[in-house]
Amino acid sequence: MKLVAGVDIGNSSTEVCLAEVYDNGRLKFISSSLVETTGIKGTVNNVEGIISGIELALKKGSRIISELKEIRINEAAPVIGDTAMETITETIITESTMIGHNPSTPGGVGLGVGEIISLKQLKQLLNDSDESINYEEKYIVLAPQDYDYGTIAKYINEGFNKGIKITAAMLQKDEGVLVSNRLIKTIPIVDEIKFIEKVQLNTMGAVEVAESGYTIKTLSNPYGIATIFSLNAEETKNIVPVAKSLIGIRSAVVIKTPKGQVKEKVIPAGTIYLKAKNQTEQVNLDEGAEKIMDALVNLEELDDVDGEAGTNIGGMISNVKNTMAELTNIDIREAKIKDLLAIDTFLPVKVNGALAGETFLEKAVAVAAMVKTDRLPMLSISAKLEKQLGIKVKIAGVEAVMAIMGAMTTPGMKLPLAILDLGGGSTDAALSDEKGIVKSIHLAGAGELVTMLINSELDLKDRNLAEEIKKNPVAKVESLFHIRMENREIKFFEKPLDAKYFGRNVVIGNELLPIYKEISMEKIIEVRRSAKERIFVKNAIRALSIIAPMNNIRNISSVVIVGGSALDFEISDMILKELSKFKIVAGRGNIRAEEGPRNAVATGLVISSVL
Amino acid sequence: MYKRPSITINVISKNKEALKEILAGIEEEELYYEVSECFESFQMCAEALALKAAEASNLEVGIGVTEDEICVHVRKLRNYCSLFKFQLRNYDYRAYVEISRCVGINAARYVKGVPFK
Repeated sequence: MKLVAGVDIGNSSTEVCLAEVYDNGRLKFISSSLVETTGIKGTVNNVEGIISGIELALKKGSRIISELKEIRINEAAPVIGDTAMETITETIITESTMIGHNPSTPGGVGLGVGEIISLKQLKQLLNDSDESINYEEKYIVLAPQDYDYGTIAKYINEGFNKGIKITAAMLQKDEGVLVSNRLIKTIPIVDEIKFIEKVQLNTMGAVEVAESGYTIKTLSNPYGIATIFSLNAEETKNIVPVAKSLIGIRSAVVIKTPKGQVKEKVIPAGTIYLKAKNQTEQVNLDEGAEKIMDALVNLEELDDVDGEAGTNIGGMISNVKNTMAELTNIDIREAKIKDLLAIDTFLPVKVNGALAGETFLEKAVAVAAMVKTDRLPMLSISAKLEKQLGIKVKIAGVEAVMAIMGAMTTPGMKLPLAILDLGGGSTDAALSDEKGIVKSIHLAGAGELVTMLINSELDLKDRNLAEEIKKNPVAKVESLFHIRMENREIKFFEKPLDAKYFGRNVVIGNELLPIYKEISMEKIIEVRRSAKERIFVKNAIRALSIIAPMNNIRNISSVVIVGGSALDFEISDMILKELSKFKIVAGRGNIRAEEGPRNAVATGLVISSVL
Repeated sequence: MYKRPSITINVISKNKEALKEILAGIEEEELYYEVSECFESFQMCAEALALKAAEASNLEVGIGVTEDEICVHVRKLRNYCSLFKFQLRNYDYRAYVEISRCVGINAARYVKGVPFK
């Protein structure tokens, strides 16, 4: 009998399976472990992670290292993935033409149109003699933070009393309600305007505040704005993006500046060249992800991908190739991109020219690319490992074959069998027929890309938080003693929660993580699910279609889902649902009837020692 | 007699500045308040005053204002510590005004279930 360890080195995790191997070919599984992969998969830096994985497995199985006789590592698929994102549109508000930040407590209600004047200018008007004032003129009063609400209200009331038509007010401080409560007439007031000093005085403006619970009607309608400012047809066309960006909010301001408008520019993001043996397709990144994926489908087999030199996409592609070339000690010209996944997404960006810190969702394209070469230097890893531990190390087999062997330990399995391995850096599929011949494929785009999409579409700027949101359900803190989870269940706490959680959305990880961004729970759930759909469900179909007999996915009868991302609480179900449309039976693997979808390759490595 | 749902504020000092800002904060969040002068309880600390106010308020939220401290307490937390507590002598004038305003705003936001400022 000898103690054997199977080690699977993945992009994100390194897994170990420990077993006793008997001379008659019998196997007794002892324990397993999971640790983070150290360094990039396929480099000697992995050794550190491998050793901690082995030590952990030994500890769990109450064995010591001297008992270990053989270590079997996988012939890691020589694929390395990377991701990048490029915005392809840019919104600019020129000449301070609108304010659409939707403050939480605007004052008053209604629509007010008039010439914008400062409080100082109003004070001057109040001192002017009656004859010199044009009482037909309408005004909107602008008050910066130097003035307190009492003073502002006082002057506006004096204006009312003198007969001056003040139709609305704009404030820098959050005092809309305070001012409104002290006025003798009701006028719409928009507050919390951060950069109020940028508003051009003596221009025509319109302020609208809707009733509580409603949204504005006039300023979100181009014809409404055209009516107020007597615009001609050409000017009305230009005002459409302004109106569009004010839809669905409770209060807004539009200012008629000579050349003011909201411009949506398309940013030239570079060209991608998709090369096959006999043809090259070229797509501009700013045409969107769909165009790129369509072009890919037209090619029989992707031979390589290049990006336009001097652009971000060009840089990303050469980076990925460089990394691969360094790892395998080959010439960079030998590193080829074998797969690309492009996804349309959004990036909330602070708008140039905004007066109150508004952000707009700019269109972006996220790309995952995968480089492939002949072999990864597993020999240098095995050599270093053998030297450090003094135990025999064997490179035991192709990853895909090992994965199928491991998946077979799931109760109820038989050949032919297809597996979907959902990892961190790649989505892989393998198909084995009755004779044991295996076809496999590795596709770009997996867990890490999902995290990146969640991070950017929710504008979190926090990769760890995005990762937690991907893996866990969210909840809303309704009181200091209870939270309501996304499935409507309520959870109570013994001790009161800290004030920082109150009223916020939280992620239920190992501890409650507050989400400080003002996003609704529904939005978080929608983005999370959509990211997983766009990447994993799409790649599942792509991968299975490629390895299916005659490339027809319906020729596969059953699929086992394994891998780290298969543990996710939603992804497997989404894939199941999608595959059932093709009458394919799919389910999460249960390796050795106890590991769930994990440890397939490591288990397969151990099994292969008796074959 | 019908009493509007309001946040009760117990005051034992003539700390007019802080009180004015607190009331402005509550008003901006569109809630009502009721001020109660408790000069006979002049030895009580702001926390105790705030708790007493919370017990008296029909929105279950109370604010205590002494010469130097302001504190927000809620009935649910009567067995624990208060929601917010500030020693005004630790701040300069501008900060003290801003904090008092925030105290009013956050007391109202607690009632509304909205995150604090």
